Amino acid sequence: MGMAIDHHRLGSPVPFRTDEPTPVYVHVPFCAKRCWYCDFNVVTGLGRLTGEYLKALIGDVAGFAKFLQSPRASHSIYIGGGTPSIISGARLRALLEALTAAFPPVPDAEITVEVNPTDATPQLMRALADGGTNRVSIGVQTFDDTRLAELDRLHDGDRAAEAVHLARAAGLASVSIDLLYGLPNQKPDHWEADLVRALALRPDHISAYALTLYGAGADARATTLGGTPAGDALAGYYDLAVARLAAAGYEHYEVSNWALPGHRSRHNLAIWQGSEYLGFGCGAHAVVGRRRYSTLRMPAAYLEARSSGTSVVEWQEDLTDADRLAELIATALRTADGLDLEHLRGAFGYDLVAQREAVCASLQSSGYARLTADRLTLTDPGLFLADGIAAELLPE
Amino acid sequence: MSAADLKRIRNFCIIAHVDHGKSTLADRLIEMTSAVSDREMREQLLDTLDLEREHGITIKATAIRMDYAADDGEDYQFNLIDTPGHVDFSYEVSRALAACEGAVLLVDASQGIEAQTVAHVHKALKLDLELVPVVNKVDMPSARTEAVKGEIAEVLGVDAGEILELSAKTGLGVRGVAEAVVNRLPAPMGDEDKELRALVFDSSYDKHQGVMAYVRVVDGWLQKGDGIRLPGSRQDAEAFEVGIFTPAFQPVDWLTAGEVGYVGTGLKDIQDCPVGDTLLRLGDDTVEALPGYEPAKPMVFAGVYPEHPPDFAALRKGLETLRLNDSALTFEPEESGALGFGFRVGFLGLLHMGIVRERLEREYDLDLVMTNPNVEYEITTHDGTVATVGRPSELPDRSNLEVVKEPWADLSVVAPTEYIGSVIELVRQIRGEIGEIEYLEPTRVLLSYRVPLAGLLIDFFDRLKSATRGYASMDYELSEYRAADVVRLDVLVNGEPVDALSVIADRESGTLRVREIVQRLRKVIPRQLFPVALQGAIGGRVVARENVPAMRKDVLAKCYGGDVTRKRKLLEKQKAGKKRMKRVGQVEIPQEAFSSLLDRSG
Ligand SMILES: Nc1nc2c(ncn2[C@@H]2O[C@H](COP(=O)(O)OP(=O)(O)OP(=O)(O)O)[C@@H](O)[C@H]2O)c(=O)[nH]1
Ligand code: SF4
Ligand SMILES: [Mg+2]
Repeated sequence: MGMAIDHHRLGSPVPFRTDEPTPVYVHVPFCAKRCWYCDFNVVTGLGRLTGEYLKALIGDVAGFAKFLQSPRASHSIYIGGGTPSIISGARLRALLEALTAAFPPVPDAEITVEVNPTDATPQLMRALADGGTNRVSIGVQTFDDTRLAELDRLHDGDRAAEAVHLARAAGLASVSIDLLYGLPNQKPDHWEADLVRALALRPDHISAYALTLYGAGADARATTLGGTPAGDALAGYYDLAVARLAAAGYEHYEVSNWALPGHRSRHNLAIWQGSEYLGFGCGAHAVVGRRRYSTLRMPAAYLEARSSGTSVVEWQEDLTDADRLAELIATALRTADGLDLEHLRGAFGYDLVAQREAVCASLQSSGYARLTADRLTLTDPGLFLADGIAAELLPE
Repeated sequence: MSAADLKRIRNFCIIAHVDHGKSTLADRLIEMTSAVSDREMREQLLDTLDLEREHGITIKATAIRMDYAADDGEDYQFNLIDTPGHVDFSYEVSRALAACEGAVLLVDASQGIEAQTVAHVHKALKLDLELVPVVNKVDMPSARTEAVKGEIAEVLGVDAGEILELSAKTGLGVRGVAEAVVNRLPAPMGDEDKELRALVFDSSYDKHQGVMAYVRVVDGWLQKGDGIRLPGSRQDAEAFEVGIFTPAFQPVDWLTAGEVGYVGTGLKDIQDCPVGDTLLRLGDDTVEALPGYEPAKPMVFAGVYPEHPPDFAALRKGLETLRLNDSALTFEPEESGALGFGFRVGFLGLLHMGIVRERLEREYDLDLVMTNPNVEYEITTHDGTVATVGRPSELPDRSNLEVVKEPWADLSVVAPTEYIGSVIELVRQIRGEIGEIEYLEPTRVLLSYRVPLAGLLIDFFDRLKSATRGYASMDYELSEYRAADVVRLDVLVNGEPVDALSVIADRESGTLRVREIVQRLRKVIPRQLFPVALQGAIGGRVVARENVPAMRKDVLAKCYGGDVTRKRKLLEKQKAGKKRMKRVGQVEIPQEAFSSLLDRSG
């Protein structure tokens, strides 16, 4: 346990470990066009702010490191968005350099940048590699051009495939693609075709998300487009992904994530397993000690706070043990490693199997979970019910 | 008070079908006599309960004294009792009538005579009351004043010329009604010099004075401090206060023969001062009590449970407090495997049930789970034991039943002739006996049937309304107990019987009924992690099955930094939602499931 941090002006200092490497998340909120289904913290039409934003961000990161006095190593760095790739290669590289200087990466640190296929060029990929990036996550969504247009995406399927090739050519060690299923007008055959085309590219990592509609606007849009499959039908799409990807040698290590051996996202896994993490930029989240906080969502507000030296914190809460236990169950259950029963007993005094005996028995007999002496893990069908199962596994 | 004084008293009720304007006429009379100052006056003044004002209906009878300066130059004392129109509360009408010599009968000029008009008229005539028939709402464009007069003349056997016209809303004809009360209704008889006899026609509870008995003094007189006795409940008490209704309580020096007023008794339990009892002077042991009347009998029974088990004590307190002002409410503790500790509560009908539930939830801040309602059965077992059963799980096995009797009711329906067929069909469906048809007008009839009360209980009125496009009205009255062939329908959830889901039905339609129940349950029980098997059984034999298949998806696709808080909040919400459900084994059953038959949409 080390010193207290308050670089982000949290109001009250928080005890902060300096000994363990930490995941670091950086948010870049800019996008060329807003996709109607998107629920991220995104702004469009503010391209002119990117330079200023990058400068503020770098100042924030460097200031934080200075504040810490003794540097803290980074376990992983993840630059997400929005669309980080909207920023020029040179600027991204400067950001990466600032990050690695502030939080020196451990030797095997995973450094990820999200890339929109529209922005993928040899130059960009080279700049990323030169900046120390060893993993890119490419927002493919689907290879189906009609669906892409309906999603308001600005690229086609070929362009997405091309992005994968460019990343490989630049020597980026781990290439991930994002896919979406359960799209309006997407039939099971279409989804299968997407999977086939994705597998032909043999990315190291595949995220396949069921389209989730947040809010009435998205609902209305999806309905206008022809409606999305729900519940049982959607499970069929999931089953297809599970089967196809397993057959191709991918490990299903989280509800929506599959990886070739050695390519699981270490950054995300650390977060699902309850690690602390730092967050920079606007609308970034961080967990330090018991404090969880998020930063100002609007770029203008963030810039203003940075330049005037006021707090960038928009929201914060202190997690109780019960909160932390609930979160850990909810997130760890999503992963292939599942719940570490000994850890639940040791850290929270929660003897899950004893207190939830009947539920555990039903979960096993219905084929949703496997229980060993030290772990409870969900099966593929169980993972698609992970939230409902988590609710059953919480203490009374 | 001398006989001459008695001549200037009129005790009367306003009776009518629901919504025909009783409370509005009461308002006009109050205004005319300035019984209440302009400042205090408001619409439907006598509807004092919050629920009455919100729903625009009268639930409880209320009384008011007014002084009316009549055209003959004399001042008259009017004691008016406003009564509820809804069938659940018709016993209130009977007891109000018992305190009066006459009644103003209101009939809506557009609607005409309705089922409860007839029912109330019968009650009044049985008590030999004089009636002043009045057609109300003659201001409405849809008024059919002459035709409605014809109906009234037919039913009452009076001359159409005697029927008054009124708009309680505009005030037209109000004075005419008051004059008719003076000239056509008899003054009370009674002898001030005889021993005290006062009929308790209603009561309420006051924190300071205990039970307030609402009385009609028949003979003798009573003043503050007098010792009193109630032969029915064998209670002795003291008249802490005597007074009249203005409509608020206003103490007076004494009440004498012919008058209506209240007596503060200091009694702590409303059961000690039952309505229908006679109030006598302490020591007058040989004086004969007045005829009185049957106390209101609950007709519908349902299990009422607190959603949160620790609220059991609060629920008991709530029921006890409500009963202080509602002698028709009965309750007994019971225990259910699925719902824990609660009460079997008896109600006058579904409206009464809804009102009690609403008051408990609102005034006592309770969340309640209620079972499907049922009537009460009289059973005789082989060893000759006779008992009443108001709870399905207490109905013994057929093998141990000698006789089961169920309540029957006299049902009257008023409807346009074109719907006679539909009404008959509905009555057949509930095993009713077809009765008489009486023409009120060439196009409107009064239909009388005898039906099992159980058939009327749940949605008969709604079905009647939809079968007659809203044109029918109905009224019913308990008539007798008859042998019945009933069975208990049980519901098993994943093989486990759930006592609170059992209902009683007649054997013939049992299978259909239990099928309907499990189908409704399938709709209200949400899909969950594990599949739910629902079975309907009669006498241990499964006759209906439904399944709620397991959910296939219950996970958010993404869960990164910012999603974690959202995720946790969702879990907390889910957990709170689960708490509201009742668990049977691994299955979560929502509260609506226990009263699934009341869900009209199913
Ligand atoms: N147009 C018109 N409306 C009237 C008249 N009298 C009453 N109403 C309306 O009819 C409705 C019912 O009147 P109430 O006085 O509440 O009827 P009620 O008979 O006391 O009703 P319950 O106590 O529920 O049986 C109200 O909306 C009144 O405003 C009238 O003479 N003309
Ligand atoms: S590009 Fe990505 S972050 Fe930007 S709006 Fe579309 S889905 Fe959202
Ligand atoms: Mg009324």
